[in-house]
Amino acid sequence: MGKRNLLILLLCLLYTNIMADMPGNKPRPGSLLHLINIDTLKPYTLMIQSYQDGFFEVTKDTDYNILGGYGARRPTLFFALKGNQSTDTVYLDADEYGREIKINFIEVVNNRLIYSKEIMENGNEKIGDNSESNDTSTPGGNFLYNNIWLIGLSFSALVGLIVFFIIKNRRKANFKKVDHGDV
Amino acid sequence: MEMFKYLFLTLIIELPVVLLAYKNQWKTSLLIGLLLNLFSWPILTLLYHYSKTPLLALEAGVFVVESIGYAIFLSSKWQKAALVSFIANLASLLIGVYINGINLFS
Repeated sequence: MGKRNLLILLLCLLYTNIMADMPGNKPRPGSLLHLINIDTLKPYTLMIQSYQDGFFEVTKDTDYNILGGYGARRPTLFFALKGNQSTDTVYLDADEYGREIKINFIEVVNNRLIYSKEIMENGNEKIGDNSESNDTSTPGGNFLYNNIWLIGLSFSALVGLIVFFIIKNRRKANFKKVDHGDV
Repeated sequence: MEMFKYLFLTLIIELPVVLLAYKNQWKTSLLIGLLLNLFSWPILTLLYHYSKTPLLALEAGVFVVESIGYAIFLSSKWQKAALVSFIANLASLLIGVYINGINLFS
């Protein structure tokens, strides 16, 4: 068995041993969103994107149930759309999953979605609204989680480019050796 | 994953330009064009949505990165690489601006 094959086999064994100690997926509770005063967004239309239902529009006040399950959270996001123009995108914060939340839409100002959120738990506990905030679209701690696909894609492409560069240089070096008779 | 439709559009606009320019090494140019776009597009998207950097400045950055990439990985002259990157990115920028109704100078 060549050295390379042995190394590949060792890496596979190492991987399987690591995976053997991985805990199973944690249960993930569902969430209930009460979306109210959607009329105030006109002429914009409220759009929701979720893992379970894909991409859809909401035209009237509605209760939206985000299903529970196992494993990592599937982000639910919403924004308002008018023709080709869309507002900023709003994501649920990490601590809002598995809760009952009332989202009260107020208006759209300068292409920003203005709304307030309340977590419904032992009476109304108001979180606050975003009307005075400068940045509504990025829950601070969720940047990495919400953009993991983009970051991973870019990183993988970079690794691919580096590998290509290394292989190309090795071929050049081998070609030069053969050319000079150094086999 | 709605945003990935824009990645797909970027690829179908830019890759043919690269393939045409580097016909004699089309397999390598297809791979490098794909990898460079998969590297630069997510960074452009993140910076566009999360920073106040103007789109034109971001596209200029992408143009520079892709020019360098084409010159190094396709062993191309700098001038040709820059021209290919400019045409490809200009085409994808203009089509993207038209589709989304973006004002480039706001």
